[in-house]
Amino acid sequence: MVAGHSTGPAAGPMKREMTGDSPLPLRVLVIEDAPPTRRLIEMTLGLAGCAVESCADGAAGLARILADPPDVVVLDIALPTMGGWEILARLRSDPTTRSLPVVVATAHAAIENADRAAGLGADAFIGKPFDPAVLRRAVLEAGARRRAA
Amino acid sequence: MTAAGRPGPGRLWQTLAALLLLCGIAGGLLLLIPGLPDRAAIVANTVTYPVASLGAGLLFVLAGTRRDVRGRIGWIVFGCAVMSWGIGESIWQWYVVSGREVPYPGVADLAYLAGYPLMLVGVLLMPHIRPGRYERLRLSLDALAGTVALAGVCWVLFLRDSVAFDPEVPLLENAVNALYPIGDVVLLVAVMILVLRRSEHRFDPRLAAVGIGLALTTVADIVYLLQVRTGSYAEGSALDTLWLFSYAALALGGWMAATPMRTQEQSYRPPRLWQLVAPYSAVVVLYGMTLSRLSGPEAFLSWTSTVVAGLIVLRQGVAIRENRELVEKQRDDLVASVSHELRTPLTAVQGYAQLLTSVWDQVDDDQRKDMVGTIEEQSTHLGRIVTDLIEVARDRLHATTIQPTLVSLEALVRTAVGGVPGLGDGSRARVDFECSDGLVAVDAVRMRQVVSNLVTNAVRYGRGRVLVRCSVGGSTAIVEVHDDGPGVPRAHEAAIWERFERGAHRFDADIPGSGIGLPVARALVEAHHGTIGYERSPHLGGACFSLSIPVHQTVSEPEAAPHPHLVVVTPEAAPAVRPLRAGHPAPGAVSLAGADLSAVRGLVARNVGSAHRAPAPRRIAR
Repeated sequence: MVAGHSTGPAAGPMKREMTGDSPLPLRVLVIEDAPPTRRLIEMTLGLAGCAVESCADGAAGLARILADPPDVVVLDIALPTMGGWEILARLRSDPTTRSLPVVVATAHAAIENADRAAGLGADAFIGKPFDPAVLRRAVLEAGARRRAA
Repeated sequence: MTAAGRPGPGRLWQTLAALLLLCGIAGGLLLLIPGLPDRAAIVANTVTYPVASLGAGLLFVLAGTRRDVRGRIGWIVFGCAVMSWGIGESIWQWYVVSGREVPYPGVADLAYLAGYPLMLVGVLLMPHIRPGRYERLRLSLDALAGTVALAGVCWVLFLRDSVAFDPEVPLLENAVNALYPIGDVVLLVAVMILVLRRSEHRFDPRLAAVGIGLALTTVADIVYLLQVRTGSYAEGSALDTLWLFSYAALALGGWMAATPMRTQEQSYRPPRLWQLVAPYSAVVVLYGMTLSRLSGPEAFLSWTSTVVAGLIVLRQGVAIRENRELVEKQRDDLVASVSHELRTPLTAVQGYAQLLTSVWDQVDDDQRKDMVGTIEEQSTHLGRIVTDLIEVARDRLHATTIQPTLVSLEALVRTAVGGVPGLGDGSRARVDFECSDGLVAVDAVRMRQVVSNLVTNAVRYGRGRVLVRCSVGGSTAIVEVHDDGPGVPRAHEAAIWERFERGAHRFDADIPGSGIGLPVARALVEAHHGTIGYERSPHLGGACFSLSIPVHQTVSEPEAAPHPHLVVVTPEAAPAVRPLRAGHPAPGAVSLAGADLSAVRGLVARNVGSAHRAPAPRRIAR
């Protein structure tokens, strides 16, 4: 089993709602290891008109952000090869990605983790299980702020 | 005093118990009257002793026969013990009434002495809040330590001369002389257990009454020994009042034992400090007495030992607190990691359901089916996690049920790896396969779970390279999962198979895991009569988990088989599979890699006819 494209509900054409008045779709990178959750996020954001790419492990995700920064990152915490906290810390210490919006979506939903995410400069913290509408709103708002800046 | 909805003791019973109680108390009080004529005292003794003792014992036995009473055997044994004393009392009083001298040692002594050990057994079997064997053992040791110390003190102060060996009387009499104080020591153990034990009630009046009864008997026995030594004992004295009161207290206990009580307290409460310290206060007294008799270097050494012993006790107290802190930390981590394991499938179930509701018109039928399919798949997964957690928590994994069916090993392994988190979608983690295919008769769902658990670990703890090797050779199927991570430290190699143990990652909240993956994998492999083990990976340098499962018994010689290249499963209990023979592809043979179960079944059915029946579900006990 080598890395491949995602399958399931997110695959295939679907009707999209566009993100506000922006002519270009919001580019979102999802770093999430659990396949069903990853597909859920892809589908949710795809339906919201975002251009979604995803990555199933931490180190590869960080490399992809640094090579081609997206508009918003949706970041899991418990990830193979490199944890979400380390990715967030590295993004905030790199001048090119310091202001990159990051939405943390994790099953480690304790309030201390929300504090930690805020301390590390995350834009939003969403505990799993989440309502897709909440995730969509958080990503779109973060993207809008990014575009406005 | 009846619990709601349950019948209490009948009127006849209550009357009997009240009469016995009154009999014991009245007899005891009667003997306290100054100037009571000897004859009256003897009559009081003669009636009240047998009636009160036999009656009290009978109440306990009857209590034990009630189905709605807990600890029934304990009450019955205790009742037999009291009745044994009652028989002794009756025999004794029979001799007194008939004007004959009571033989010593005689049958009455046999009945008395038999009562002591029975009482201890009865007390140990009485209802207890958490009949954990260690707690019961600890309780017994506490009580024994306290009693031995107390007996030592009593020996030095009172009993030394009472039970001294007398060369002028027969050996049997000497032995019985010694057995009574020993019986009292046994009673002391029972009393101390009653004081220290916790029943399901914050205050259990039944146990309190029994404890008071036994304590009164012990005190009366000791006083009796002292009086006999000084020759001051007289039948019908105040001492008999003590014994009669003890029977009255026991009768009260028996009455209450038969009365079902509403349970007030079921949760575990750690023993209070006084309960831990109380049994050892007698030890301290004994030790103090020993110290006070020493002088010179012995005294110095003893005082030094005392200080060291005190420090050891202090250290144990600190160690207990340290251990409690560690357990709490592990519990918190466990709750966090288990909730993480549950939240992942729950996210998919809840998320897809909410998404489906809000975007129903925006997606087509195929997408809707996919979403519902994912909800079904993830809710099944969620259910399995919960089941496994419960089985692991109850330590019942060894009773796992498996339902073997014929599957392609390679297809099974590849399907299992496909569902592992952290793979695909640009992940750096890469899984390579080195598989030679063959058919195996296993529980496909459970075996996929095993492979999935192992590969999940390899992805979590490795650095990105995973090698899965599988083969079917001879009578064994082998699956190996290698990774390029740091491997399992030698110190944790044994512990990783324990429940809820995460080895070196015990406190690593960033790497998810609940510590049930490997125990579940081992239990499932063992349910298949297989083995699973850990070693250093010779290929990638990290961890290597390998499992082997017996997959077949060769039915016959290859040439005797009508279709030697086909799979044959015999109907015996053990899975019996004849694998595809490498290098002898039959015309029309198909690769089973990726084939689904129904296709495999169909293939086998067509070629083997009736011999393909898969073994019935088995319940494997370790």
